[in-house]
Amino acid sequence: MSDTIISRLRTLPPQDRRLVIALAIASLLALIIGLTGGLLTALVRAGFLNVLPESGYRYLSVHGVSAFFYWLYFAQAALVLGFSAVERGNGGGPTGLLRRSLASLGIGAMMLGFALGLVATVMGSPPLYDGNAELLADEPLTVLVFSAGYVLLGLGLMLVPASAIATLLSSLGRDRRKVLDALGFALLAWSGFLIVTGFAAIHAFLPSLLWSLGLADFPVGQETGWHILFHNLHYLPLMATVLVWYILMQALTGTKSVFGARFSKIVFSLYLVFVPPTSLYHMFLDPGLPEYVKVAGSVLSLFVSVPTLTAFLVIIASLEVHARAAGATGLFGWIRKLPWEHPATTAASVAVINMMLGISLAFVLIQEKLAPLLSDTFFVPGYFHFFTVGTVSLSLLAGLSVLLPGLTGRSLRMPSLLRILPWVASAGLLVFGGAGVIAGFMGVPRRVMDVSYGGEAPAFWSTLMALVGAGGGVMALALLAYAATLLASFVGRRGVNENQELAGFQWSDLPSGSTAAWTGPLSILVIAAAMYGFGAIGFELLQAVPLIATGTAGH
Amino acid sequence: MLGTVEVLMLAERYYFDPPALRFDLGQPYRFRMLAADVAHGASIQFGEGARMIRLAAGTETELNVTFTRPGSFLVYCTSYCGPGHDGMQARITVA
Repeated sequence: MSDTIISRLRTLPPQDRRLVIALAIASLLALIIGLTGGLLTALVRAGFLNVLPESGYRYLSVHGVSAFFYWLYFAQAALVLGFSAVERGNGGGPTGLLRRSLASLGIGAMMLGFALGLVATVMGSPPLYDGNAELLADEPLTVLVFSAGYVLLGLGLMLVPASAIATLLSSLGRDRRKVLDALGFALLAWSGFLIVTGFAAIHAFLPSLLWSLGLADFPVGQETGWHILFHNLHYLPLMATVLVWYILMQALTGTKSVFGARFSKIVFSLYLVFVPPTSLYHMFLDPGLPEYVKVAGSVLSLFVSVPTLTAFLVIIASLEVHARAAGATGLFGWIRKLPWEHPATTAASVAVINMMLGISLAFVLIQEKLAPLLSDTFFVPGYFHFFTVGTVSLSLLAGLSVLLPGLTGRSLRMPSLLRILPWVASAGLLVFGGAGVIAGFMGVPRRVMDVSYGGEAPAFWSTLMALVGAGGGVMALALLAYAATLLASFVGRRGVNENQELAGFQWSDLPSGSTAAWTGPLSILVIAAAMYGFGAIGFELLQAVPLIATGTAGH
Repeated sequence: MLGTVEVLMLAERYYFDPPALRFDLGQPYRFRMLAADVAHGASIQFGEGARMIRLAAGTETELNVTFTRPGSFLVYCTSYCGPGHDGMQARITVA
């Protein structure tokens, strides 16, 4: 058997398999709980479910805590741990984790944190997903449980990647390779970023935890800590997404980057260069923010997607060149050559399309002039679900669908259903996101359960929210079915379907030569045109606002 | 036309004070807004598009505005401030 990611997965020690499987199951349970909360929230906003606003905010809290935090970070922890254990064996050494006790401790902390987070959503006032201590000042017990949950999550996000880093570094040595290849480097960078995020979570929530215990003053600076954490939370999952695409490219087709390992390493490093300084745009609406900071924020925001788009180009070009070497013809004929038998191909491909839409819309929001028009409106959930659901979640699910059969020794259940569901989810997302973006342009607020304002709001706001509810319902149900199918794949008869093993796809042996690859550059052109189009609509709308406003100041 | 007219507005769980304001078209106003308890926000809705501002707790925030079209516009709180957030609204009439 050749040395591949898939073949090495089978050689993992049983105790490592159990750890990664535990994380994967936790991630899918978090996704199912989060989707249920999201579905209920969408139904309330649409007016399809008649409950008190407080119940709606409680559903939103469950959704945010479970889906935005624990699903995304349990899944990332599973993938980074699983693939690091596999990468250790790259080139001939043993596979398996080092510092396993750190990983076990971290997983335990994350699971306990998740349980506390869920308890906090039902014990007092709805904390949403940020647990703002200012709003919960009269409920220190809620703050205690909520903050303890995120501090434990942060602790886990430092311990689990520490095991992954120890594992990756152990593959270097005098008798082994001298440097990590691109995949190993990517996993190392991912682990480092996870540790930074874990630290940011502790930095943001430890002060409120200590206050709730009577050990410190009220955490007046919690918002700053939250912004630092939140910016990380935006971009780490995107980095994770492109790394999963990179892993999938190798695992499903055997393809490696045609630009070489060094260039891939530079691209992965770009996240560390570009993400921190681009955080200024979160503050555009803060009163008293100097004009030069706003201008700098707008300029820097143009660079925030550079790493994601560059990695996207590398992956698409590499796949296209190898598929052409395998006989593909025509401008897009190479796409037919991809391993569509494996459900991960569909999920990752649909994720790429959703990312193109998400990036195009994101640039509208992060312009200083448009922020007062669109921030805090439904434009925000409208566009970011193209990322969080359409891009990141589908990519992480694709990653899990490659990881799990190798770990469990069982084929994926109902692969044909898994090939369809990403399209169904994305159709729902298109309705949800499309109606949500239009609603944002029309001024419909986010984080409000009843947008009618007692009949004072325009009637079409409710119509748009009904569309959001219908689209959100389809999206949530499709993803629920996907997560349930993956969970079902943990049990049953052992044995792996050869189509899922992809024995026929080892494009790494093909001569790639100097084949032209146009799909990536063309895609970037489409994204740029869409950005221009959405931006133009935003500025047209800005011109139509019957108000001249100047000189925001806070003191 | 008068010079810039100052308008004081208070945001508190779960109301704006005053809840209704009447302005003249083309007249410059300086909004001086204060969130009295927790962070709030104010968004003036124009049917197509809006203008919003965030209000930090205990910080007076100023915004100079001149309305260029008559109409009756909804104002709502943009920052989740608790379970009664849905009902926090006001109305601006420009004539």
